[in-house]
Amino acid sequence: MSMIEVEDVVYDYPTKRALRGVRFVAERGQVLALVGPNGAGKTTLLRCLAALDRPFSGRVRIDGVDTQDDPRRVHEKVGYLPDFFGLYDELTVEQNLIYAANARRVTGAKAREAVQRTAAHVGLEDRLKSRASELSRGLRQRLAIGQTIVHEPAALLLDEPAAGLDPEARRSLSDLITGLAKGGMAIIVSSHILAELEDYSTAMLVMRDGALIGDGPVAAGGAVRVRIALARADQRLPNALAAQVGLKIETADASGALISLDGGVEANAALLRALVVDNFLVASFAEERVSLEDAYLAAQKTITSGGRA
Amino acid sequence: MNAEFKRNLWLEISPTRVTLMTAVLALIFAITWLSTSADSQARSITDIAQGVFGMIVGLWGSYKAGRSVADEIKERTWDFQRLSALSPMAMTLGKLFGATAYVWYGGLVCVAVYAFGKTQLDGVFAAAYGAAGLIVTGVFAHAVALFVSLGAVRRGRGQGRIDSFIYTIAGIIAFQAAGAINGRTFETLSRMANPEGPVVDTVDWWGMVLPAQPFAFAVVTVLMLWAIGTAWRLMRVELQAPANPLWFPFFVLTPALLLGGSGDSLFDCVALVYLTVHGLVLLTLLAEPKDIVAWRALAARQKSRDAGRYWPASLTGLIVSFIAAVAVAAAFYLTPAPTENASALFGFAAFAFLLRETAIFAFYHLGARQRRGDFAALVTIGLLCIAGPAILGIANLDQATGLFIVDLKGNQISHLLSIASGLVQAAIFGVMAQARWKGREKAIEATA
Repeated sequence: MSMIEVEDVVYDYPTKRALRGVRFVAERGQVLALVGPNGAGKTTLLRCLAALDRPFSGRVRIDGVDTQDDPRRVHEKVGYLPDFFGLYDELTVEQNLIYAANARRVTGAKAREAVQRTAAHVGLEDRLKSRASELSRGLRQRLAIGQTIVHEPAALLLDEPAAGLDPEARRSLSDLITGLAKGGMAIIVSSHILAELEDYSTAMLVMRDGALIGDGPVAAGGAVRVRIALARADQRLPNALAAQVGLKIETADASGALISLDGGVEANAALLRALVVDNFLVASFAEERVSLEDAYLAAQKTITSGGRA
Repeated sequence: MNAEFKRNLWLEISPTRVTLMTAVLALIFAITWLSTSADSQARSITDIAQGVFGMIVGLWGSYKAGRSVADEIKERTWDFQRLSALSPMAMTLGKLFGATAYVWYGGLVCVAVYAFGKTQLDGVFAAAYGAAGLIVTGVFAHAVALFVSLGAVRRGRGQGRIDSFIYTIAGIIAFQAAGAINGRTFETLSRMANPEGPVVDTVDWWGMVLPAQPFAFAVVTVLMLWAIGTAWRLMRVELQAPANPLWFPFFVLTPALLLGGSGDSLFDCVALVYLTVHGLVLLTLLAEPKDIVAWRALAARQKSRDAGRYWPASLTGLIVSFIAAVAVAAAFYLTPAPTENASALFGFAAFAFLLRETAIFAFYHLGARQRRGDFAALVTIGLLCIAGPAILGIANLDQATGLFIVDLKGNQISHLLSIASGLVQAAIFGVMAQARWKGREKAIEATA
């Protein structure tokens, strides 16, 4: 059973349709980057997943519980951090976390244990007695995330969690998300800044005009491509590459090519040898990581060339 | 302990604040005690304690209770609370008594001083009764402020200064009204404490003769529970808990039955019940969010078991109103001697106009300027109810005012006229609303 199941979700505002038949699944330990331009419907989708808003039609299930049939049980299973969140500034970090735990039915000794564990997780164990108002923006963000994970939810939904954070805080957020995913949580992180999702997302949901591009999650980058450059242009190159097995050509012309191929370094070596044997003057043969931005732009290209998913 | 209550205690109660409140109240009561003569000290301190209680609990407490949810929205913590595992009742009580914890500390000091003075004046029984009355009155006022604020939150409002003013005023009105009802209790208790005084007075309610002071206390207690129940129901909606269809009849019938019992005859009693229900349904029609998305979802789920989530309370109100109208007709035939000019059709006549008002609200809220829908509907209803009869009056056609408003003292013919006219007007606005509905449907489908 998938941790998050979304089936044909449609959400309407009074004058326009905000989500159009969104459908995907997310598994345990998966970190999905939810990307798209402002107004694409990312926040609306996350609110439907958190059972804060009810879709007009379609179904959302979190850990098998339908958000429309039993939203209160779903609330127990999710942690949701909205893009603009608040904290109880006059309370200490410890009180904020105790309240969050108690409000999620974690009480007594278990609550104290959960507070200590969460504080350590988000790096606030030495700030427990500080008031929330005394924390920097990065630490406030950590406290807010701590509040959303103190009850160890099955699914974590983060809406623009790194907005306004400095590089160091972004790095620790990235480590935190990676660690939580390893613990088995299904995590969806929304952002329109792709660079911040690069480090931890395992797949990507691209939204545009309330719909997902592609059929659910697409590879979120991290794949390796090979860029080939020739010292002298050779018209044979595209055909020579096309003749190779297990190779996908992204671009190819007489002066070079961008390809992805299965088989790792051995396949790379075999291809390079084949090119040299065929008398191609290879000037460079370099591996290149596919960034999230590349994957996003490739997905965008899908709709401009082939229509919407 | 209730997590929400505990959080509020952390925020509200601190040694400094408790010391400050104690010192200020001690100063007020000491000055009062020392500045009055020995024979009137008990009376003065009782009055002052009651007055300060009104200021702290009635005024400040209503403000605090009303702001308890609005501040969460303003501070962006409301979504986190909505996602909590706290039950709607725990959240309601946590806010009702937690947000006002500091207020209640001061209020209970006042109640203690009031009880001290009252004991000297009228005895322990009267003091206990009066103290309980003050507490119930305070909780009622706070619960009213809380449910009014939750109603505003549902309409997407609730955070501005004007909104805060409205909750506070609602709480103060509730405090004053309950105080006035309980006032009879205090007065009567004084007599009870004095054996030489007049006999305990009574209240005639639904034909039953009841002792006034326990009745008054019971009425305020029931109203307090009603207000807490209403706040709880609205909290359920906010927390996405399933809707209980029995809530709205409880909401309208509780005050209707309390008020209705004061009529002179069975017909008068039931007519009063109808009018109270009618008024509360109109109020709900105005206060309830008119959400076309929810209407569309309801239309799409007519036979689904979760249709109730989208069902507007005012539509349940129409059903309750119709049943009340039937009860009015039944009471007419069951009452041996109804009021002169009374008519069995009175309830149906009023109900026909309620249908018209519903159709008017629907028509304006389906228009392009939905935000002004309530205002436009109120203006239209005002024109129909005031300008229509006025024009008929100028034309010496007073007997035809039933075309626009129900005549409370009208006869069967007048009420028949009202039924026909109300239904025709409801149909006209209904048809126009339906045309707009189709237009909106097409517009949304066009963006799909």
